[in-house]
Amino acid sequence: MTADAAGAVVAGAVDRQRRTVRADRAIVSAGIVGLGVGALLFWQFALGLIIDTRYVSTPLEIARSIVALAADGSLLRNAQATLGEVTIGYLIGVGIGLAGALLLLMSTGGYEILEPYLLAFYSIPKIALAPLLTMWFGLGPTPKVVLAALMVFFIVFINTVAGVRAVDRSLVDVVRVMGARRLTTLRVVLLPAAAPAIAAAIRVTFARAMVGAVLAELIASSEGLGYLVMRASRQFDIASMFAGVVVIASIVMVVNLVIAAAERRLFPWASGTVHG
Amino acid sequence: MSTSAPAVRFQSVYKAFIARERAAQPILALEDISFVANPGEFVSLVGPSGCGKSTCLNLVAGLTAPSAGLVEHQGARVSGVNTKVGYITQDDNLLPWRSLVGNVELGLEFRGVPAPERRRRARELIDVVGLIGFEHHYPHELSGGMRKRASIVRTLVYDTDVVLMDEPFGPLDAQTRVILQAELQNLWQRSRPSVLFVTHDLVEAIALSDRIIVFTNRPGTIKREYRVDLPRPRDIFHIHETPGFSDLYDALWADIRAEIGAAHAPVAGERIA
Amino acid sequence: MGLGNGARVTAVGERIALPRPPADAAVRVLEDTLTRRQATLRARRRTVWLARLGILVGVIVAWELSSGTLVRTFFVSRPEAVAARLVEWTLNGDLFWHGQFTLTATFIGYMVGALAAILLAWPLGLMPRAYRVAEPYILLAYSIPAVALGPVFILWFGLELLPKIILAAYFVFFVVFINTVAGFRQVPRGLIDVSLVMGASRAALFRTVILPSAVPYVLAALRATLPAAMIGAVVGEFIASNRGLGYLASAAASEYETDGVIAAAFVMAVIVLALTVLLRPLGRVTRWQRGVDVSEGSL
Repeated sequence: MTADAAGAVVAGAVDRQRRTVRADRAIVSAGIVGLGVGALLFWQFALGLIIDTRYVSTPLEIARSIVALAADGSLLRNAQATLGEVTIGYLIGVGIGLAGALLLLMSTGGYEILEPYLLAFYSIPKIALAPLLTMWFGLGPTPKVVLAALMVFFIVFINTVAGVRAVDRSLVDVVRVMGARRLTTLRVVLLPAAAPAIAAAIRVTFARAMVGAVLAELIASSEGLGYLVMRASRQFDIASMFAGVVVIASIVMVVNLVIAAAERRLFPWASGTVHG
Repeated sequence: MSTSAPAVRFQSVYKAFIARERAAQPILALEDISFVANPGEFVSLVGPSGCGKSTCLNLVAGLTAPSAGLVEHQGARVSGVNTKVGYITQDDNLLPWRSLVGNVELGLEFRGVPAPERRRRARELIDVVGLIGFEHHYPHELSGGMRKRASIVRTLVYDTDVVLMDEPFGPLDAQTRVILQAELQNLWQRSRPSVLFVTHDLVEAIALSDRIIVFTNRPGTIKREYRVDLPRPRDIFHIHETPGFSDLYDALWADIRAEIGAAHAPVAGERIA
Repeated sequence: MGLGNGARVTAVGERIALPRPPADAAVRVLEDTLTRRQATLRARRRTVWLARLGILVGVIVAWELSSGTLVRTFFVSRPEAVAARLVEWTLNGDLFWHGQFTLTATFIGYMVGALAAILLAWPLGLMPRAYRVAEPYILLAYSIPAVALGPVFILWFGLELLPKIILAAYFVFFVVFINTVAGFRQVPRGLIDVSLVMGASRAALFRTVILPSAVPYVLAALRATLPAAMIGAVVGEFIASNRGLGYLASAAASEYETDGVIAAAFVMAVIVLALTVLLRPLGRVTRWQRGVDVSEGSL
């Protein structure tokens, strides 16, 4: 008799809870869709009554402009240019950041000596170097790659160092007692323990690489999405300008999703926080 | 508030959970729980981990609702947060940004007690647990035992007729535990509220309680009740030597051990689905 | 390091002052340990500082020697040329004249961005469902690189201060917003439950539990974003302007004056460093708290 009663109670509770959860999800989803559609409709039809459409364009015009840019091939060409710069700069930044951190970690007292310089360089706005880079390397892709790499390098570097230094001392002591040498300790304990922090740093820095490359393109360039936006801005072509912004944001979002998924696969146990 | 009504009454209470994840299986935490706690009675709930003891306290506090059955406090059905009981949780849950005295005054403040009286009543109890001199320390500046004392007097200071305690001494070291158990007995005897006390520690349950309710494995049902007839006030520090202690302890332990054994047997999951 | 040393000294001192005076031998051991430890620490600190100084001097000397020999002076200028440029700008007032525009845009943008973020995050942080509705759009807006909006703002708001203020505010807004929402949402469930059972009303709960718990997050975000505001202003100046420190840098770049570009970058770096150091106390304003990290960095 009790088993039946219990079964009925569980079934009832489950049912009630499922219904509340479903209703809650439905409300939120409807809210999300409603807000998005409402904003687009407002922009399309009502915003022009307040502000001259020449300044704000409309969603349809922007979509049309994306299609036009895609049709004449300039979207693909410029996106390719930017993506190339960002990817190369990103990889260089991550590589040098990791290598530099490992070198520093293997040296004795290196961190202590370099600390004030690291902190100073860390808080310096890398963006301030943009004019210098365009002056050095001209209009081509080099200054974009370098600025993207600079934006990435330091975050990866400092998070790797910080991650390794934050590893519990006693973990290190245990393997030391077991007879591990410096390099072995680094390989067996320190890097795996710091891996989530390092991975998180690698993830968040792609957007920064994009910022670096786009900024360099805005300042001086002859191709790339930043150039597309800048040219449209000079021609007062608001729709194309927004089209460029939309494409840039989409790339950042897609890449972020891909990297986050890869990270969850590689480090299922960790959700690291990033310093910097 | 009639004196004849029990302080707390559970009548055929069931509680089922389902986790928020999509494929989560429903869990029956409590099955057909019926018991009462009389006014002024100290009742301990013991049983294996995850048997729903803490859920019972949450039900009395009104933080969660039963899936079936009735939970009553002073003869009235509990629905919504029950502010007429005191709840001492497992974590001390002191507000980090309030000094000790500020934390002890909190409940009185919520109840609109004027500041001078608040201060006086808080200080009185802080004195009883020997924390005078630490009133203006912040929680992170206090030791674990001090924080525990603070969280206990914070609840007792506003004089509820029922106090719920969820393994309050769990994380403390053995010496501090015993000292705090003795202090709790003294505090309890000052105003004699009914207490529902969840613990894993059988010695603690015997030392403090009038009655002990043993729960089975999940889904928690009541396996047995024991009356603790040891005379009061009890010498907590030498409770082992009190006549009658060992028999009671052995009986309790036999019950619990059977449940822990059952948890490892393959049939354990059977009743969940 | 100095702190650790001090703590150890007291510990040893306390040991000596035990009620039962230790035997002479024990006292000697304690004193020896102390002096040896202090000596090692002093030697170590000296080495570290010498090495740090050495690196600084080494870099400047290497810069001086390599300029014009290993690397063309056009690329790296020379230390004394950069120094001379800094002195010149200081004396002729250029530094202050341009600096005032950048700093004005920075501070106004900072306040506007932070205020807007807090005012929007406050209700959203307290209404979980509204937050879940808004969340995807906030993430969407957050993944637009702020610099890409630079040209948009310039087009809308002209070449004067306004677009720089807006860019600075935009750089500040998301970090403050996200941290403020997090501050409101991270309040431990236990604190809320216990307060409710104690009889807290909605208003009392907000005042005594939720607000104090969120404040450290907001302060940490406010501390982290002042430099970001300056970067926003400078980006605006890079893209289009005729004054400000960003203009100073890009004007020098367009004239191929390396010393000017490096000097301007140096000034910006010093200001950002100064702002960072200046706001450091904001992270720990009260005795009860132990500091909160913001996961967002300088650009």
